Amino acid sequence: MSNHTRTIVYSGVLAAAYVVLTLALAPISFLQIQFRVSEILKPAVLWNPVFAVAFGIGTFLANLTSPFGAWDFVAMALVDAVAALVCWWMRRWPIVAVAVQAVLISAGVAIFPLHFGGGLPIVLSFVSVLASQLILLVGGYYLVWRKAGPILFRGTR
Amino acid sequence: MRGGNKKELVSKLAALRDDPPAQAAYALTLLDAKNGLEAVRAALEVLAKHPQDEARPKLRALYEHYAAHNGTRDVGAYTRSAILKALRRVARPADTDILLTAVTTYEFPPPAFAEEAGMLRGGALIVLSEVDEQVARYFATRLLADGYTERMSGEPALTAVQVLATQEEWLPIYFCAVQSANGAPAEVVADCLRQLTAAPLPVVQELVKQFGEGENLPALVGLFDLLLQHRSGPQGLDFLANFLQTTHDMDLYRYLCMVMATSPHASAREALAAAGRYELGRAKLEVLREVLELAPPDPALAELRDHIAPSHGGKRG
Repeated sequence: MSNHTRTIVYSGVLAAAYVVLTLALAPISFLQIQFRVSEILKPAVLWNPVFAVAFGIGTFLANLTSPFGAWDFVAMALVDAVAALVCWWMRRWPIVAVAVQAVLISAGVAIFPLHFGGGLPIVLSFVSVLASQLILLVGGYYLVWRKAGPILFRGTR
Repeated sequence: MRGGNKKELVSKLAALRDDPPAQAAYALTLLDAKNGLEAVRAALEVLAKHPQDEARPKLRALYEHYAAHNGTRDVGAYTRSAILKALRRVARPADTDILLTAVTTYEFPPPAFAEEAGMLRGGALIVLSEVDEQVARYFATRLLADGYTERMSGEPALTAVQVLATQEEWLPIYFCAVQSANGAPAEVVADCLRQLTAAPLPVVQELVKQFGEGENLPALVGLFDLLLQHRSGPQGLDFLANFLQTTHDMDLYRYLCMVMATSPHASAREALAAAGRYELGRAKLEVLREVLELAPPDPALAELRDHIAPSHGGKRG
């Protein structure tokens, strides 16, 4: 399989896994106090910037059922893709990169769906979402991607 | 060049597959990084199959392009490995500079910062061995003990074993095998053992003692190959027969039965037949039957086949 094909396949798998995990755990995937387990997939972007598109698409599809409507499935899809790209740009410092990704996503969630969509206070929402994001992204990097990333994604970019 | 045009280059190259000289000539024109990675890699693949002397300077320039900036243009060194494959049959002693650079390239790209140029070092060693045997011998010995040998592929140490074996440099290979406790990947140790077919018999006996009762399965496979392919004929047949009778590992059992049954040496086939006659285990008998069906005609094996035919095996097993 060519590297190009592998990138496309992995992108599809990551986007699909993100949607499935989010919807399967929907009760804890939305709202101000959330623990979206699918976020654990996002540090994968450290190995390939194309995965930013996969997460953008995954977020769009997963959030179609969100109670906050387009603020969640349009704005957050863009925020997730941009946050993932920033993470990839900072890949030389992986822990910092995923932490920045977590901060950007948390800010996006607090501003767009929760504040504009749901009228909730930005700062409180940001702190609440950031806690779970840091656990999932930094933990995901350490527990999953630090070992699996080089094996799965090597040579895909 | 725009993405669409780049795709057209690859399509045009693929369309020439029925005319190898024309395809190789067109591939030559694609050896420019501006054409995009996909087109360059496709051209390199064609040139590896249909080498062109005229490609040499372009391949050198391309290598230098991808090696620049500490290899960030070619993370994982896949493109540079492909360049060396295309260069292999047209390389000259004047290319030693590039090959020495490649054979000593170590890269640790983010985010994992794990070494990723093992395949490049191995590939460069092969080309170097064809350009300058003497220098290659030294670098092969160095790569045999490469601290960054990939656990999954065994590269570049596996290539180093092959190069040293081709040059009949047995001592470094022997050293690597007997020092396996120091962390060489199991596949590398297995290949070292496999290559020691010219080792003196007392050395082989010591290797049987060291590896024969261990639990390093790849090393056992290497040991079987060594014993059955030794230059002075099959060795350690008693050990092999005993292994067949005592092992509980059906994969190893199947492998050993297969290599003994297909050995060009009658003594190996006879040893298998002798060991098989006393086999009682149902699973092993089943494996033996399968192997014997695939084995070439041989009187000893034919007798064993009759002996363990289901009517017999069913009663005995």
